[in-house]
Amino acid sequence: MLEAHLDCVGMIVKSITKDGFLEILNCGGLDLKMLISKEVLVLGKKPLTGFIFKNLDEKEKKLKIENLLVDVNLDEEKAKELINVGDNIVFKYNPVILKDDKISVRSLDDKASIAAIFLVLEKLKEKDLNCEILVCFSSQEETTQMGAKTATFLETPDIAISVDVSFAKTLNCKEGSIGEMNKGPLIGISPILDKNLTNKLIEIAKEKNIPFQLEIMNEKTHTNADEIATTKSGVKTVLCSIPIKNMHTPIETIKISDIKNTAELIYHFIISNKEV
Amino acid sequence: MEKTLKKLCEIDAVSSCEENLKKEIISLIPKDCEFFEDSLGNLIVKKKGTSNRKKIMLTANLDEEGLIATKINEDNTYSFLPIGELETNSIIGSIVHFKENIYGVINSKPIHLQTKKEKEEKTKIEDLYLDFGFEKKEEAENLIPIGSIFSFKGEFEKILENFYKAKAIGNRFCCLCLIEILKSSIEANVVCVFLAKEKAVSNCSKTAAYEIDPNLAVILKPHIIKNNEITKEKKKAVVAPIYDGNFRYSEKLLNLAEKIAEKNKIPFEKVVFNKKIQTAKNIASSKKGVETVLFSLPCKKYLTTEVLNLKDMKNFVKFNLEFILNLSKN
Repeated sequence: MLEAHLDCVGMIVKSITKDGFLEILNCGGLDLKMLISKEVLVLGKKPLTGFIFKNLDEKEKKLKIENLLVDVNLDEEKAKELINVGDNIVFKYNPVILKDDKISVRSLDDKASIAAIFLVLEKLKEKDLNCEILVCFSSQEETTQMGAKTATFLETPDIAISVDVSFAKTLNCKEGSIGEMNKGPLIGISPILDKNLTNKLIEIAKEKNIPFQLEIMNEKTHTNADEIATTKSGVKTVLCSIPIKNMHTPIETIKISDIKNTAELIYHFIISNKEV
Repeated sequence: MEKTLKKLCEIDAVSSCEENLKKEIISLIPKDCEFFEDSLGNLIVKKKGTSNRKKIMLTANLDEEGLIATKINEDNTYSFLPIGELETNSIIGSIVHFKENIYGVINSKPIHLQTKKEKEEKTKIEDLYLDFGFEKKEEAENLIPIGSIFSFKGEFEKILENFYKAKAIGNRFCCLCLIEILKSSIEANVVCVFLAKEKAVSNCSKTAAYEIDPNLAVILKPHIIKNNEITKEKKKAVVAPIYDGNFRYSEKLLNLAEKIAEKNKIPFEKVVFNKKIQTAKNIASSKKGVETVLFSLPCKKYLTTEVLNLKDMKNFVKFNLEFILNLSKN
C-alpha cells in the first residue's frame, strides 16, 4: 500500500459575530502569529475572500486562536446567509516558482507526496509485478490520522509505504535530526517502522544512486505511518518524507527533484519486492 | 475608474522606487498640465486656473511599504529590514518579489519545532529570512545584491460586489482622485503633488510645500481603521481630523468641508486622530504658514494589502471635486 494524505491544515468557522466577523478554530497545527493579516478563502456557499485580523489589545501578551477573527466584509445577516458554522477556511492559493527548481505554495504537505505517488504509478504502468498495488489517499491526517487507520483496516496490506513531508533545514530551524532540501527523500528510522524494510530502502537508494537522507526519530513518527503500522495485527511500514520548508504556512516550499527522487526510490523498492 | 485603479495598483512603488508609478501617472494627466520632478522625487503637476490666482496644493502619497536586503546568509537566504511600518508577525509566510519575476518567501520556523516561548513571543525581524531558492551564492549576489528593495505580492481584485482589495490601494486611490481633479475645470490654480518616500521618511512634503508656496493645502490619505472598530454608524466616506496629536487643522476649511458634504449628502465625520501626521505639519508650517486640511477615506489594512469600499470611493472622489471647486470660488 502506498499512502499519502489528502488534507491540509486550515481553519474552521466556529461562529459568526454580530459584526459579521468569523470566529475560527485551527484544523491542524498553525502558528497563530503567522496567521495575522493572511488572506484566506472561506469555503461557504461560494468561496469568499477574507482577511485574518487580531482582535486583541496591545497590552495583552498571549495570542490565542480566540483573538483571531476573519473579516469577509459582510454584515452579520449576509454572512450567515453565505457561511455556515463548520465551513472550512484555507489559505488563498498563490503559488510562486522560486529559483533552482523550487515551488512555494500552500498545502504541499501532503500534495507533494501525492504527486510522488502518481510518478510511481506512471513508472509502474508497463511493469509486470508480483504484488498487488494499493494506493490510499487518506483523509484527516492533520487532525486525527483516522483516515489512514480505517483504510488500512479495510484493505489490510502486507507492506505499507507512507509518504509524507518533513522539515528541511532553514537558518531558524536546524536543531536535531532535520533534513536538507535538495538531498533526496528522508528515510524514516523509528521504533514503529519495520527495520528490515527500512534497511532495504537504504540499500536500494545506495544501489541505484538515489540521493537520500535519514530522519532519526526516537519514538513515533507523528505521521500516518504510526496508525498504519499498528492496524489489526500490525502492518510492516516504512516512511519516506520529502524535505519541506515553512511547513503549515501559505508558502510551503519544496524542491521538485526531491519529489522525483522520492518517486524513484519507491519505484525501485516496489519492483525489487520479490527479494524481500 | 476600476481599470485605471487596477493599473495604478499593479505597479510596485516601494519608497524611493516610485519611477514606474510616476510614469503611469504622467500618462494619465491631461495634456495641458505642466509637470516636473523635484530633487527628492516628488512628482509635481500644475494646472492653471480658469479665472483666479489662488494656488491650492493637493497631495497624495505614491509609495508603499517593502523590504530591503541587508545581508546574504550562509544558506543564500537574505536578512532584511522593513521599509515603512510593518508588523513583524504579519511578514512571516508572505511572498515578495524583486523586479518583475524573481519571487521570494519569508521563512518561518514550523510551529512543531517552536518552543513554548517562541510560540508566545513576537517574532523579531532578525529571526526571519527571505528565501529566493538560490543554491549558489554567486548567483544570489549577482541577481540580488544587498541593498535591493522588494515589494510584497497583493493582486488587485474585486471582492463581493462592493469592495476592492490590492496592495497600497488606499494611496493609489488618492492619487487617482488627484488625477480626476486635474481633469476638471477649476477657477484657481491647482498644484498636485504625488509625494515620494512618505513611508520611509515622511519629509518630502516639506520641500514640495516650500517650492510651491500655496495659499491652501489639501492632503488626501487613506484612514486605516481597525476592523473591530468599524461599526455601521461610525462608517463615513470622508474622515477629516480636527487635531492629530500634533497639529490643529484649519477650522475654516473644515467648516467649508462640512457644508459641502451636507449639501451633497456625503457621509462626513470630523475626528481627533491619535497618530501624528507629519505631512500635515510640514505643509502647514512651510514659509509663512499654509491653511491645511486633511481628508481621508476609511481603509482596512493587512500587511500591505488594503481593502476599500466602492461606495466610499465614489463619495470620496465626488466630495473632493466639489470641495476644490468651492474652494477656488471664495
